[in-house]
Amino acid sequence: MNKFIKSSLALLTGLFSLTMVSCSDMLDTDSNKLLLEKDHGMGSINDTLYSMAGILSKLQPLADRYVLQGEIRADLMSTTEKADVYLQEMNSYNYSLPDNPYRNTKDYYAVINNCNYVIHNIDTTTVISNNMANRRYYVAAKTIRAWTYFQLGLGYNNVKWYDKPIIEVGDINNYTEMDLESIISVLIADLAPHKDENQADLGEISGYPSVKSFYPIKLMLGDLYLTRASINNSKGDYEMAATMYMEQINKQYYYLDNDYNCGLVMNKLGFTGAKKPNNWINLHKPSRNNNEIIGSIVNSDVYGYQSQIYAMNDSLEIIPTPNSIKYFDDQVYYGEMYVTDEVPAYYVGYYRTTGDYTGDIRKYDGLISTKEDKDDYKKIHKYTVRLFTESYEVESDEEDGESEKVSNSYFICPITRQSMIYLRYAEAVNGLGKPNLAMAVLKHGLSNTNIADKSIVPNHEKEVVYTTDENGVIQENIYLPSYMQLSLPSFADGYVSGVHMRGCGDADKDTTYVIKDFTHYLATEDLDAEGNPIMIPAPNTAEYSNIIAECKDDSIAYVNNLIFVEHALETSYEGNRFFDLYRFAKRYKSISGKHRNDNFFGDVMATKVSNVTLNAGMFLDENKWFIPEDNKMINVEDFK
Amino acid sequence: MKGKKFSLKYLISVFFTLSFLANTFAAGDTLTISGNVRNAYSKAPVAAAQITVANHPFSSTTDENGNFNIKVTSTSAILIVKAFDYQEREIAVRGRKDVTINLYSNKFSNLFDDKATLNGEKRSSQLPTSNRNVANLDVAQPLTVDDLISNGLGGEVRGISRSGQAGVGSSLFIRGLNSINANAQPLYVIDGVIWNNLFDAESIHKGFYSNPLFDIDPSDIESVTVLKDGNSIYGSKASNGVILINTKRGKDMTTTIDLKAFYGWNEKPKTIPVMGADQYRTYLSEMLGTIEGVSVSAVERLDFLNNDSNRPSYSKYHNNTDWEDEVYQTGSTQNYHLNVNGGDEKALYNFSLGYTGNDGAIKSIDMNRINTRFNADINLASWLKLGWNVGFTNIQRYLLDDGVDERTSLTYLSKIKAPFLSPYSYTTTGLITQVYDSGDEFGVSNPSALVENSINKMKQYRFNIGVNPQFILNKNFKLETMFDYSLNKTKEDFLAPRNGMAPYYHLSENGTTLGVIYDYVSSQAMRDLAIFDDSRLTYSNKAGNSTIDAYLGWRYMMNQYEADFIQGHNGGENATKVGDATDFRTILGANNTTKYISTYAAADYAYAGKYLLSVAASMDASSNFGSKTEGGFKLFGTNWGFFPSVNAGWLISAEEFMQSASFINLLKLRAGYSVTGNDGIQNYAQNAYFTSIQFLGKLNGYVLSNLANPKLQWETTYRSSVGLDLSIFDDRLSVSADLYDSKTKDLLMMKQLPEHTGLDYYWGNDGEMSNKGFEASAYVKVLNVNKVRFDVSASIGKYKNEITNLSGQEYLTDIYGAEILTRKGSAAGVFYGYKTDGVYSTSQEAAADGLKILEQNGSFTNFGAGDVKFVDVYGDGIINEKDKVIIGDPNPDFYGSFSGKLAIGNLSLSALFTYSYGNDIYNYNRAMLEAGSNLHNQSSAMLTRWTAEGQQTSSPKAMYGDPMGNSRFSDRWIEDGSYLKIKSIQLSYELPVKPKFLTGITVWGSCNNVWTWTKYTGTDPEVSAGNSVLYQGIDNGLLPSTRSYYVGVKISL
Repeated sequence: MNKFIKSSLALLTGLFSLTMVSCSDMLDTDSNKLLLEKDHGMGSINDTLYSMAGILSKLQPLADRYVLQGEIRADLMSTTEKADVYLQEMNSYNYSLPDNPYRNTKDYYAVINNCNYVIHNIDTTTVISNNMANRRYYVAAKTIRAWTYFQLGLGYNNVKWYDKPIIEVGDINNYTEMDLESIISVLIADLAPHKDENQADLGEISGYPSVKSFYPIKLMLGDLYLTRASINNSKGDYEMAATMYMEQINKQYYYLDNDYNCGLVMNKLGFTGAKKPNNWINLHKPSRNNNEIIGSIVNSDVYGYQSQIYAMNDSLEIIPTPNSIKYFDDQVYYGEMYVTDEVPAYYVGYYRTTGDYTGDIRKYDGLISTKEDKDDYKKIHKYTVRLFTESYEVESDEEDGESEKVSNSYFICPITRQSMIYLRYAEAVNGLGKPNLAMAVLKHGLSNTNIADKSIVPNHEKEVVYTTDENGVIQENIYLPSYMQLSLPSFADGYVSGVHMRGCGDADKDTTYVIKDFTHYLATEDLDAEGNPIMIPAPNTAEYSNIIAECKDDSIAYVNNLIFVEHALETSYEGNRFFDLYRFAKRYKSISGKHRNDNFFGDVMATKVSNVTLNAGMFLDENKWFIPEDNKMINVEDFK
Repeated sequence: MKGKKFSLKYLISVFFTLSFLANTFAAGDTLTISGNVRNAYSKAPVAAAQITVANHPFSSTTDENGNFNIKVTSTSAILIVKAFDYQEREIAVRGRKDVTINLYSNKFSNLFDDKATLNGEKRSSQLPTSNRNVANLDVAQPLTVDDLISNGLGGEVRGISRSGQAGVGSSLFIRGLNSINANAQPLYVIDGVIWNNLFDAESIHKGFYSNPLFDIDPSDIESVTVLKDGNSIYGSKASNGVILINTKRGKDMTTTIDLKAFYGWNEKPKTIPVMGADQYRTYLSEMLGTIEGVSVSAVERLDFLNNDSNRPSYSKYHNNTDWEDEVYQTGSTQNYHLNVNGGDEKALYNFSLGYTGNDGAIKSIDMNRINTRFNADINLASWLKLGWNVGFTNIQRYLLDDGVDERTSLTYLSKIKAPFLSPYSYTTTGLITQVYDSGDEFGVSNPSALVENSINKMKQYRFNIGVNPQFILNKNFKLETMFDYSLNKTKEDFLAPRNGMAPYYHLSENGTTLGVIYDYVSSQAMRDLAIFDDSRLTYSNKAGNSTIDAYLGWRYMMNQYEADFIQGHNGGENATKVGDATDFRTILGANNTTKYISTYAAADYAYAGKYLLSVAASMDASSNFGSKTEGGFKLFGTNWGFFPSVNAGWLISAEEFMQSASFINLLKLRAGYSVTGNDGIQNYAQNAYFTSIQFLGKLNGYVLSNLANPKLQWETTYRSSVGLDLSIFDDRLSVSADLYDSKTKDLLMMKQLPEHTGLDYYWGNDGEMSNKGFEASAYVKVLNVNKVRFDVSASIGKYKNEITNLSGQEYLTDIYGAEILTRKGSAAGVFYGYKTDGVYSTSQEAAADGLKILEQNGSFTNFGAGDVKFVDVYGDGIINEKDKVIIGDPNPDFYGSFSGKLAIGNLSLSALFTYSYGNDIYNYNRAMLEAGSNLHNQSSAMLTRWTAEGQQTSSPKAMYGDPMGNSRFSDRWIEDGSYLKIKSIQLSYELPVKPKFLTGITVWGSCNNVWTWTKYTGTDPEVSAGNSVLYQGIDNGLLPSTRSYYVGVKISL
């Protein structure tokens, strides 16, 4: 447009707009139903809280995704013919439909972009009552963002990383593509400086403590370190993972309360055939007093996104695999009783008086079992107890001021529980070469007493320095690394339970649930092929060291397998199985020696009993583990 | 862009040049013309006829012999002739010195008149644009002006009745479809003030549209002018055409009082016949047998299938209720209107008071409107005038849902409700009570109970006050401003009562059951506050043969629209307000403020009354435009769209060389080019914004809901047109025709966002669309014998709409089960679905085809005997979305109206016909009534449903849940919507006896919607489901316009 035209138009406009300071001011508009970005300065603590609530609401659709994508893609859960074709595609690892909603990642990025907005705009210097009031929300947003990116990575092995909010259409190409391994390091670097920040908390919302909606940063870091360690077998990362988990355990005094253990009723004659009242299932029930659930996503039946897991379970669209049930059945329940006050007796397995209960008792709390309807046996009891109803009075908006009773129901999807942390801790310390410490988590429960007990955690898994006192007596000084030092409340020590004890009775007394004795390699009574006894190598020889190292590897592998099984027993159907499988598969690929397995993932998946048989070989290609993303077609509904 | 720069440059130059020319013209020489004015039939002289010269102050009056002399400045001057009881005429001098002028009775329609333009009134012959007036505003019973336009300009404005409810009016489309997703309705300018047409405002009463134009009583209207081109001074609001509506103002100092009254009856509509009690019982038992898990013995045990008359339940299930009788009634409409017009030297005024009442053709629906208006023009000083407009309208309605809805729509319920049930409940011993029954076991509400128990109100009022000071600066310059404040408030209440409504499951967004709903209450309050100012400096000059009218203006508008909606469920039997409801509360709302500034300039230049030029331009800024628009330019810190237009006309009939072609009375060529816009952008769409959520119903939160698109801008329509006005044989035959070709660019579309943004869509400008078409109208004075006059008029319109570019994308929009395709190469609004080829008669026939569907769980199911034979377009043996094709087009091939009027003395008989040809309709109503998929009663067409192997029929078998998708959106539901309708027949009589205190009494009677010829099987082919382009041609079963009879009287004092 040339100058003449422009100046002419300026003249025309100028006649009537001399009084205008700026037309843009005259055209400025606001709305009290929408919050325009220009007006959302995040200037007050309320803005922060509103934004955090927004993020939590956007997390809601991810609860079902977490459970379904975490379980259907692994060995413990499968779909039936009643499931929709999209979920069945996931079950068969064969994605052909372009509009499969599970291939759509929008819901994840809705969380990420809202987190980015908070992270980018929050004023972390706001001080209220001498506290940097906003910092915890800043860190909470970073942690939720990290969790969401991590889920994206586990789902699709492809993320679009951006840490500034996309506010304008023109910004949509400002991102970096990464795979899961790359994003883990980015997230660790992003979170590590803030690991000691306090947990965010929006108070109690409709009876549910909102603090549980925020994934603790140290657990997030622990998961990230543990995953990276599994990928590269880095001792440093294992140690960081163990440290993060332990710091969080100590910070919140997490301990596995034996109140939640389930078991069988016994009298002096043995098992009565009855099961103890449901204890273990209680830890899945959302309530104010349930400390087991640490992080969760809460869905409401009215507000926001309603979870479909309950309905899918009820209609048997998703069922436990025989594999998962076999895990329970394969366990040995070990019951301790006293025939007299002094003489203990132990009952295991087939000594039970009836055949109603076999193996790990958690099966009967985790699955519904009624004799009348065999289909009910396939339903997952965990899901049915996740419903939480809160009734409360609200003041009527009418003039009479009367109040009304309103009830809302919520469906809780636990993302992390205390036992899950302990198991991951066990995984980490086992990776550090401390299978007995890891075994203690399963068998005895982690407490300072048990760690100190050399029969449980031998000294070679601790740092021992021998000194001689003034009397010439050799003193054994044990220095525990920080990740082996618990700060449990004193009362808790006696109530600490091993994870395995939650469903297998007095596992700590079970003489079969032990690390196998792999030292027979050194035994002299064994004969070689020619009938000659195998000689003990001298302790200081390389051969001796190699055998010891091999035994240790065997022990680690043995415990590793127990942990893998325990993950299934304790946390099956909760959404983490693919994550577990991923870590273990990567770990077996990263180690050397006879326990290396380049296709652990495929081996596990090939055993999955489902309406689809999977070929182990296909999983040699890691890309097959993940869901292919899809840029779906346009279908605009009802806009006018 | 290049074209725009070209236009802009030359328009600016032309404007300044014209201003210069007008000031430099010298007065030319004058000529004297003599002539004679006479009656066209009797040739008797007409005395006291007034003769004036267009664009000049000369005037003359005929003597008793009809003779006159008058001065003109040009041999091509135009004489305007007006006489009492006669039609106005314009006579081109064409170099003649002596003219004979025949006048026709004013029983004929005026060909020449003053038309409202964007710069005051002008003679129609002096306009280079196509401005069409709605004639015959005087004696009419339509309750709203859009119906008047739709009837009066059938071929030039495509009007589609929104429904048969009183006052909901018509959707209007001018020159094709000029948008896809944004507002495609015309701009309404009432007394110079832009009204928000609320085209997308939703009522909580389904099927109802709160028509803003209903706030004006048609009796208050002085003129309605449709501007199809040359309207660029309304720039970004003008691409859908502009309709100028001027209300009556004080005319002269003689006080006149008009009283109008009419009363009418509305018949029950023609409806789709449904099955009777026994037929339905048979259907029901068959349907129940197809439900999985329901045994035959269980079905047989059901009370409604048991014919043992000794059972107590027998009487409950053995009625034969005609549910239409429970729902429909003969409606009535009454209207009273008082108008007082007068004044003195100081002021002229017009005052009116009106009342309109309507009892609908559906029971319990009624409407009351009270409106008053006071317009005044005050001469405060020789240099200062003050215009004053005040209007107030109050409307109260009782409403019920309309259209397809199985819970609360009476019209639909009357079709699907089991005829063997009674409106009343029965005791357990089988005795009928006087208590209305509740919803039935088939999930269908009791319409009689809804009539009795529903509380569905709408109260609305609009108040506006406008002031229009005019400063006469000198004989050439005037400065005026039109300031208007209006407030439009609506409050709606809705109750779906427990006693009457069938309970249903409340489902979440993802389809899971949240609970049972037994009743619900909704309430909505809407408030639209508008502040408007239009200030302009006008310049007019007449010098010699040149006339120029120019103006420079500035317009500001602020609209604040607020809507608050609340709904609650399960309040119990006595629930009447939302506070009573305890479950599933929903609160929604909007609070949108839009601001708009426009600076405009225009000039109309005429030379010798035969060379006509009109140029206009505006530059618009709006709060809805982005801050970095690619179109327009940036100035004063904001973005402006620029909209120029130029129109030229050549009144050939005024040329001297036309002297020999005396049979041609008027010949005018017109041509124009304009750039206009459409700013119907969704409010705040250009902003990034957050919406509030309630996390767990307790904690308020914000979530990012829209990405900013600073490039978001108006849609732009570039339109060129040529037109011809011709009148021949002493103005006995006149024709007006226009051709147009337009291209709309930067269509407002919802565009897909990549997943990593976390959002689905954003509003952007993309795509182009073209409209090519013509409009023609003709008028013939067929008979002019003594006191017998007969004239005929006809109009036809045609447009071809095509989406010419969509940047490689295409869009599907789901509306009432239909899929509307937006695709390059197609017209807007086409239906996209499956083709069918009858019904499989035998299993063998089905097996031979081997077609199947993919189930949700991944398995396949084959079509069998009795299923619809879908056409496997893709050819893979699977009937799925790949087989969808375009199966219908709601756009007509042509449309229009014609009318005739026979006047014998004071008696006149007129008839109006409307028609449309070649448009398709998606009969959603029939799709529901012939779906054969649930337990609802169905149309009688289902009596021919497939029931046995080998049966030849076009109706597929009935299967609960329709597992094969036989009732899916397909060409089964697409019908030819062509029609010819006798819209109205009216007889009026002007009483010859006039008492002294009266100046006239006219009595009239009319019949509306007399008859329709159509193949369409629905109730009325004149149908659309909404104002938007994509909702056209969809029959949602709304109450149609029904046949009605009126009698009325007009008394002038």
